[in-house]
Amino acid sequence: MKNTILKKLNDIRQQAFMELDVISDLEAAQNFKNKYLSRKGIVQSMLQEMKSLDANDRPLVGKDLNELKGELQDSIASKIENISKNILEEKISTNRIDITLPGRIVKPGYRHPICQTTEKVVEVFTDMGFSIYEGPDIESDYYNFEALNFSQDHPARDMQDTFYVEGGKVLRTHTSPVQIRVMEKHSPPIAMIAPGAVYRSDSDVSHSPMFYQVEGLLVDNNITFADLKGVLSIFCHKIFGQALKVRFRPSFFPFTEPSAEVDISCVICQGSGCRVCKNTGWLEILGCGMVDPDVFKAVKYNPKQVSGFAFGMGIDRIAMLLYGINDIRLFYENDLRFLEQF
Amino acid sequence: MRVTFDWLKEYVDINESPEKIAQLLTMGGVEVEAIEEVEGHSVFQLGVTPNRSDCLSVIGVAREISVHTKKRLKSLKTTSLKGKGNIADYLKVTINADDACLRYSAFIVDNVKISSSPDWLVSRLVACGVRPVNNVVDATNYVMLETGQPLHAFDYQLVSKGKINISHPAKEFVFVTLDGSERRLLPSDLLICDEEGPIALAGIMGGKNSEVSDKTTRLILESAFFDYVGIRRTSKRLGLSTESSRRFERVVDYNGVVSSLERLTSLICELSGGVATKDFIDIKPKQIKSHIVKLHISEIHRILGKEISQKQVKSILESLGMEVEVVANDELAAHIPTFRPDLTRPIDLIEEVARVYGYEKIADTVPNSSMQSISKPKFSGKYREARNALLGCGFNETVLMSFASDDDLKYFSGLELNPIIVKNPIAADQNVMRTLLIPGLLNAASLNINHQRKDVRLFALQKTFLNQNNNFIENLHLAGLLIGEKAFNSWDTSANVDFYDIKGAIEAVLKTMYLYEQSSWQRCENINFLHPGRSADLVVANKRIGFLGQLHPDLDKKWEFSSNCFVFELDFEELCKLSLAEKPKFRELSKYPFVERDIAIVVDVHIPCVEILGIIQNSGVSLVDNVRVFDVYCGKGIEEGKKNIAYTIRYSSNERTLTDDEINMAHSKIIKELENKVGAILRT
Repeated sequence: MKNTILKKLNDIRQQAFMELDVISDLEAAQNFKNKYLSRKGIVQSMLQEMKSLDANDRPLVGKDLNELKGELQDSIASKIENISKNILEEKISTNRIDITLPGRIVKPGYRHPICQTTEKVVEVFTDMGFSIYEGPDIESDYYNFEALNFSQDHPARDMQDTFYVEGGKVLRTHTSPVQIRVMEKHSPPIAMIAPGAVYRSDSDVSHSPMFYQVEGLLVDNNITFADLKGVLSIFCHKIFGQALKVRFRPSFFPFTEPSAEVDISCVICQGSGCRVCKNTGWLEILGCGMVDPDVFKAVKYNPKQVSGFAFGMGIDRIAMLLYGINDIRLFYENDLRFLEQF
Repeated sequence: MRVTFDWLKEYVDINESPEKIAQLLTMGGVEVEAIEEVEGHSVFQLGVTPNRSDCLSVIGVAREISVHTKKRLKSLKTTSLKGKGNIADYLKVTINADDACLRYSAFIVDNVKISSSPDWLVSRLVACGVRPVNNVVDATNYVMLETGQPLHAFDYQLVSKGKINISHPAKEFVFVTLDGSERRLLPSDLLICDEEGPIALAGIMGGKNSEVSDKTTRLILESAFFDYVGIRRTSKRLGLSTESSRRFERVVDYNGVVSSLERLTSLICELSGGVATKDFIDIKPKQIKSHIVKLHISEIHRILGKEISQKQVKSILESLGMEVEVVANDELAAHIPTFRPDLTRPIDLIEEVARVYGYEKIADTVPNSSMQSISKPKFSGKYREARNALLGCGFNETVLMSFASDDDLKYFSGLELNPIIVKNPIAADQNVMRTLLIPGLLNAASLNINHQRKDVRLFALQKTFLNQNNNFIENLHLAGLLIGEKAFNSWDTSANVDFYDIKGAIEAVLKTMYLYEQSSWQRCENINFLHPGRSADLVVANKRIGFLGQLHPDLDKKWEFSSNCFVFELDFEELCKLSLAEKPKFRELSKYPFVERDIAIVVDVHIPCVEILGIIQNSGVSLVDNVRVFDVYCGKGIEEGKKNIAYTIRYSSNERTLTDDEINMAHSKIIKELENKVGAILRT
């Protein structure tokens, strides 16, 4: 009896491992488990059969049966694991994509070079403690000229070709009127800059009827021409690089005295002379000067007590030099082939 | 202003090269823009600033050089005149405009022979950009270039009865100037007249009727001082700017009037063989005298931030032609020569000192100023947020011209926008200030499409200008434009952009400004340039802020668009004002899982999505956390006039995990509401 069962167990083992060998999918594996290892499975039925054995024979047979159960459980578990792994591997291999196809583009918009440059310039001055103010584009003659010491019939008015609109107003020819508006409202000390659009009736590769300027003003007790030189040298170096040379050259603006033009060594040829700097090695970059006493009088400041400097620069020109742009009109065509370069 | 190097050398000894001198002049405030070689002369092209009338002459520039090189300025060359006859026998001058003509002097030169000028003179004139005419006219130009004093020669025979009167005309009339043009003159203009009428437009241009010609034998030579205001106004009005008017406008040297006349007379006698009168006329209705400007040395330090000794200041001012007295320990008094009318105040002298001393010798300092916390425009942070939102949506920033064409504005009717007119536009299509940004964006889009661009996404954040009953309103707008392919150059889609692409971009802006929750869209009726069925007004906190929509097909034609174009324009300042009051409010995060249920219903096609959304949200079911539409479908399988619309409703609670029963109840309640309110039929 004992031997019969042992033989049977051996047959089952052989049969089971033969079947196990050919299992290749999860369904067959499950069927195998059902057949051998479930409650109604072969292993369980052998347990029942064992009950008919002598008590003496049971431990030996029981041991063999338990071993068989363990072997089958382990084998089918590792089989299932293998199959699952194969399935996953196959899935991965069939889910291959063409990695050479180009990525789907998430294309952010580009910032206009004028806006970028304005921000750069403004940041240099706000970092030094200058506040930002704005003013209207459509100005009165008073703010654009008169208060800035351009008298009615002064030829200095010819320095800027003015656009006139209805109602006796002008399109501001510079951002300087903002100086006056700020000084009228606030008492010194004043440290301000004013970025914005300005207008002059002129159009060619280096002139646009509308362009952008940044104006600056610093007024306090004891502000000197040496301070003007110091602040604007720092500005030029921050925008164009520490290596360049900066020079201050006497000039004339009705609202500043002494006045100066600031030149930087040519960023194109490094000062050796080229078409852009007209072979002078220098590029004119901004106008500046000590605030004229008559301007202080116009805003009811006492020129004997306070002093200050003002400056103004063309953003378009700075952007053209920074990026090597050769035609100012490109800024206002908004050709994406242009805008997407910056 | 052009001067030749060799001419300058006649008035100051120069050992330096033209380049060195050019640099000294430039760094002294008289900019040499270029050095050219013309007919063997080195010619300086000078950019003379409007305050420096003295440098519109060879002598003035030579004086500048003498200041920098510390060489002596030589005096004007005049050969002594051996005259014949008294001028009173030839000429009588009266002035009836004392304010406009402050000094008038004249010589008569008889027996002149008109011919061409000698080569040396012609070549100098040509080098200076002046066209040679004949020996008399050339001499007037030559001496003007040399001294800065405009001069004129009349043919004596053509001046009726030898009488000259300087006056304003009684009424408007037409006068033919030397250039052959007819000029309409006004009573405010100043004329040189003879017995019969005008013979010259004072200070600007002579008359055709008194022009020197080959037949001329006797000359009246004029040198005068006309007030700059009148000359400038007439010259501006007529658009007639001459070498003469430019100099008068900038104020000539009152004391140079006669010396220049003498120099001219001697030169003409030399060139033409003529003989001058023994004496000359010099009438001075008004005297201009050298004035005195006082200067405290301490002021120089206060303004320049550099100590310059009194001795050095005195020497600089003297080199510029001033007589300087020391009136106190710290104070100088400078007698200003009449050739420097620009120097009237202490600050003017400080500038002179600074530029001659050398800006480069004033060391840079950093201001010792009591800086305060800086201020920025109220909305500058908002500009940045909105701009970044649109950049993130792939819109490119543009900067548009402020000008627009009033012809184009006709296409943008319906909004009652009254433009501000530019009186002197640079081009006919830039004759008003823009009232909207959209036309500029359309032009930019059109340009890009013409350059074969397949996808255009643009925005602008700029001012618009309105004339509201003669009040000029400047208002910041935010506008955008979308046209063409949704994802250009993509290999998996070739769809074009649509209404919802541009709406999504505005929603992104609203979200960054915390205004999305308060915003709603209403069909807009009054905007003629948008497709009536595909346009909407944006309403935020009950205010109409702007609009968006598809461009009307009529405008597609005008801008030659072959696919649908979508635009929006918002009143950005208004949006910023509303946004300033908003900030995000924190909501507790739920610890419990949410449950999502989909609902698909069939409703009348005209019922807007947002109405159904409202019913769901306001159905009284407090568990609804979020509702979103995920499908809209009309067509096959759906009855005509109806649409299928599907939502995902998210139920959640902060207090507990929701049970199936609770959700089923809530969901049924919502379905009931939809059936009652919009006749929804549930699709299963």
